[in-house]
Amino acid sequence: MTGISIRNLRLELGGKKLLDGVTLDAAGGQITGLAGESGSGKTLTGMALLGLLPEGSQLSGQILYAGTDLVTKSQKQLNQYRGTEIALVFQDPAASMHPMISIGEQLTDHMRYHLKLSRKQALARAVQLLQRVKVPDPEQALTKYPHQFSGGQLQRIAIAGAIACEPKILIADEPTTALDVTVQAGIMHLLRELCDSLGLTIVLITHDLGVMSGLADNIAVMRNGRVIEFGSRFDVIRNPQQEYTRSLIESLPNFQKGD
Amino acid sequence: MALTTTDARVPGGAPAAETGAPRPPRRQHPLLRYISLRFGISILLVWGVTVVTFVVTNLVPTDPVNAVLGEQAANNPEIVAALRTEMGLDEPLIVQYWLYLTRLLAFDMGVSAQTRSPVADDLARAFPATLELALFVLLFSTVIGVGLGMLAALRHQTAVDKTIRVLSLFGISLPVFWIAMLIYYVFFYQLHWAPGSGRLDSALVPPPLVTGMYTIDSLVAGQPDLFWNALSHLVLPAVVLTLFTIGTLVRFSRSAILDVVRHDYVQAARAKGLPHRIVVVRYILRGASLPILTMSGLTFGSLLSGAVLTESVFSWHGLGQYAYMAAISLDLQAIMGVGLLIGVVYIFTNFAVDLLCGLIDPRVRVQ
Amino acid sequence: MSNTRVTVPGRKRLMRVPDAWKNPLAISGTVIVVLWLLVTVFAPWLAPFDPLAQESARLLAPNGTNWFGTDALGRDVFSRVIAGTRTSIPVAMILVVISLLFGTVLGAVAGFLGTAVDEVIMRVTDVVLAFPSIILAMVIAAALGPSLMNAVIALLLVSWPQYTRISRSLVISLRSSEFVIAGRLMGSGVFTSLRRDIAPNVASPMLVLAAADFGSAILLLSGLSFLGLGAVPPAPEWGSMVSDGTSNFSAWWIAAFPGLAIFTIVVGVNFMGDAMRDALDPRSNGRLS
Ligand SMILES: Nc1ncnc2c1ncn2[C@@H]1O[C@H](COP(=O)(O)OP(=O)(O)O)[C@@H](O)[C@H]1O
Ligand SMILES: [Mg+2]
Repeated sequence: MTGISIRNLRLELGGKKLLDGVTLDAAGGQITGLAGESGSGKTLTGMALLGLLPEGSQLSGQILYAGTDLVTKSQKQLNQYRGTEIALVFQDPAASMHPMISIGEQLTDHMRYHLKLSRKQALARAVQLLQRVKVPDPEQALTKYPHQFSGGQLQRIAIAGAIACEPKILIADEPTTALDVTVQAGIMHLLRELCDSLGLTIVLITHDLGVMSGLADNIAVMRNGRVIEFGSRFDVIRNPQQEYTRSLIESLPNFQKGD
Repeated sequence: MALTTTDARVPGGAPAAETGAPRPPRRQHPLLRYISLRFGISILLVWGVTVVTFVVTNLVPTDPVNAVLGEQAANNPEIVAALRTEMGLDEPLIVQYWLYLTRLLAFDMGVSAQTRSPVADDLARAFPATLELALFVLLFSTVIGVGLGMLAALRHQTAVDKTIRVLSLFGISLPVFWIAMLIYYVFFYQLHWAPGSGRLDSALVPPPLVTGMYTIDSLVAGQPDLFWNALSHLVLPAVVLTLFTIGTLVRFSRSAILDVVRHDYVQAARAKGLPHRIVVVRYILRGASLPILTMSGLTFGSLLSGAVLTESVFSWHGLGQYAYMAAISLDLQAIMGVGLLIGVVYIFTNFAVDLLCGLIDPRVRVQ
Repeated sequence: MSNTRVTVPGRKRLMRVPDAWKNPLAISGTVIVVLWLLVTVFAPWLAPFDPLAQESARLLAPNGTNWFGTDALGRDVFSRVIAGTRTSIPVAMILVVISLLFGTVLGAVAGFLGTAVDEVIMRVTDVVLAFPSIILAMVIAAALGPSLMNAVIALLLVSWPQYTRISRSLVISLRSSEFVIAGRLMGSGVFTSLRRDIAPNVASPMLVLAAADFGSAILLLSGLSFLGLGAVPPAPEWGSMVSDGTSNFSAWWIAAFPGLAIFTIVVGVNFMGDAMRDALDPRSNGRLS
C-alpha cells in the first residue's frame, strides 16, 4: 500500500506565500485527516498533490510518491498520475459534475482514456462502481444528469468516478460540507469502508475536527499555510501540543473539560 | 443565463433515484412547457413591434393622404375626404390600429413610393439575398470568433490574450459603412481580387427560384459555374460583415469561456487526468455552448443592421440596399416594412435560439 | 434572456483609479479621447478653411494645402473633418447622458418598487430591444423627417432600455443585500437607502456602461447620417461625409478620412471603457477558484 509524503511544500502567488512549508505523511492504507480553519491552505495542498495549481503560482518542495518527486514532473507527465494514481473528490458534487453531460459519460470518459476500455466495457464497469458506492438503480442512473440527483447521491457518484481507475491515493476535499447533515455520516462511512476494503490511502480534508476525530487514523492541523500539529488521532485529540489545536478541540460541541 | 435549473434534489438522505417504477403521468413535458412559454413571449413581442410601427407611422407630421395622392387630387377636398374614409383615417386610433393589424396579417404593408410595387413583394424579393449573406457571415464569424475567444480565454492574461483583446476592440469600433467602402475600394476598385457589385456577373442569368439564395439555388439547379460566381460575389460583403460582428463575438465568447473555466467541473475533469483537448472540447466548450448560442442569435440581428449600412456599397440587392434607398428617398411605407420584417425576424431568431438552448440543456430537457 | 453580467460590488467600492492607470489600454484610450476633445474645443482655430465653402478645385487628392484633399464641391476635407467634431462629439455626449439618466432612474424605480410598475417598464424595454437599434432608430428618424435633432430623438428612444435593464438588476440584487437591509433596519428611509447605499454602487457599473455606449452612440449617429437620416447637408458630419464618398469611389479620401475620425475616437472610448470594466471586474484580480 502506497502512501504519499509532502516535504516542505511552498506555493507562492504574486509574492504571497499561500503554502509556507507544508510537511505531511499520508501513510498507505490509512485515512489522514487534514484539519484547519478555512483559508489555511488545505485545498491548495490537496490540489498541489495533483499538480493543479492557480495560474501563475510557483511550487517548491517535494511530493514523494512511489519513489518519485511529483513536484519535478511536467503537466503532461502529471496527467499520467491524475485519476489513475491519485484521485480527487470535490467539496460540492453539484458543482464538480458538468451539468450538461450525462452521469454515464462523466463516469466513463476517463476509464476509456486511461484503461483503454470500450464504451460497453466502461459502462459495465460504471454499473459495478455505482453498486459499490450504493447508488440505487445504477443502469438508470447512468442515463441521467447531475441535476436529477440529491447531493448525497451525487457525491457517491463522484466517489465512484474517483475510484474508477483504481487510484492508490484518494483526496477528499471536505466531501460532506456541501451536503445535508443527514447524509454526511453515510459518505464518511463509505470512505472508511473503501479505505479498508481497497487499501486506499485517503487524505481527508475538513475544517470540522469533530467529524475527523471519529474517522481519521492520523490527523494534521494546518494554519496559515503550514502543518502545525501532526500525529495519530488519539494523540492529537487527547494531548494536543499546540495551543491552537487545543482551542479547536475545546470548541467542539461535545467536548467535556477534564475528560 | 436565465435558464432556470429545475431542482430535483430530494431533501434528506433517501435515495433520490426512482426504482424503475413507471413515472407518474405528467400534465406537460417540461420542454413543451418551456417552448410554449417562449413562443408566447415571442408572439407578444411581435405584437409589441406592430404597436411600435403603428405609433411611429402615426407620428408622421405629413398627412398620409398626401403621400398617396398626386398634387392635383390632394387639392380636391372631395377626393381627399373619400380617401380618408377609405383609409380609415376618420376612425378612432384604436380602430385604425385594428385595420392596420388586419392588413398586416394579410401581408399588406402598403405600396412603396419608390418602386411602385407592394412593399411585401419587394421584401420577399430582397430578403433571401440578405439572408444568404447573413447566414454565410454567421457561420464564418461564429467559427472564427468563438475560436479566437476561446484561444484568448485559455491563454488568459498572456500576450495572445492581450493581442486578441486589442484586435477585438478595433473590431467593435469600426463604422461598418466606412470599412465597407475601404474594402470595396482596395479589393475591388484597385486590386480587382473579387467582384464588387451585385450578386452575379451581369451577363449571367440567376438560377431558377427555389430559396432565392443564389448559391443554394444554383446547386439545386446543378449549375456549378453559377455557384462559384455567386460565391465570389459574396466574398467582399461577407468579409465586411464578418469584421463588423467578429469583435463582439470574440469578446463575448472569451468571457463566457472564462466563466466556465472557473467552474469546479473543469478542475474535476483535469483531476480525472483527461487530456487538455478533451477537457476543452467536451467540458469547456459544452459548458459555454448556451451563452455562445444565444450570442450567435443576437449576432444575426446585428448582421441585419450591418446589412442596412453595407449592402448599398456593394449594390447587393437585399433588404439593406432596399432600406437604404427607402431611407434616402423617405419612402415611409418601405422603411416601416423593413423595420417590421427585421423586428419579427429578430424575435423569431431569438425564439429559435431559446428553443435550441432548451434542447441542448438537460436541465430544461429532462426532469 | 440578458447577456449582461452584473457584478455587485461591496459597499462604496468605487473604481480603483491607480489600477486602471497601469493599463496601457487605459492610457492610450485616454490620450486619444483627450486629443479629440481638444480638437472639438479648438475646431474653429484648427480648421485651415471654411468647412462649408468651396475653397479649391473639386476632387483634389490630398496635397500640401488640402491635407485630406477636397470633395466633389471643392470643400476642404480636413477642415470638414475638424468641424465635424462639433457635431458628433457633443451630440453623442448629450445622447449618452440623457439616456443614462433616464434609463438608470427608470430601472432603479422598476427594481425598487417591483410589482406592476416593474412589469410595465420591463415589457416596454423588451419591445424596444426586440429591434436591432439602428433599425428602430432608422424607422423613427424616417418618420420624423431627416434632421440632426430628429436623429437624436430617434436614438434617445432606442438607447435607454439597456441602462434600464442593468440598473434594475443591480438595484434588485442590492436591495436584498445585507448592508442595504442592515441600513434599512437601522432606520434609514427609502430615499436615504437609495442615495447612500444603492446609488454609489449602481453608479460605477453604469458609468462603465455609458463609456462604452458613447462609442456606439457615435457609430449610430454617423450611421443614421450615412443613411441620410441625420445631419442635413451641407453641415459637416462624419457619417454623411462618408456617404458623400459613395458617389465618387475614385476619390477615396472623401470617405476615408471622416471614417478614420469616427474609428479613432470610438477606439479611444472603447479602450477606456474596457480598462474601466477590468478595474471593476472582481475576476481580473487573480483569484481563480
Ligand atoms: N486560485 C487562487 N488564487 C489566489 N489565491 C488563492 C487561490 N486559491 C486559494 N487562494 C488563497 O490561498 C489560501 C488558502 O486557500 P485554500 O487552500 O482554499 O484554503 P482552505 O481550503 O484551507 O479553506 C486562501 O487565503 C486563499 O485566499
Ligand atoms: Mg477549501
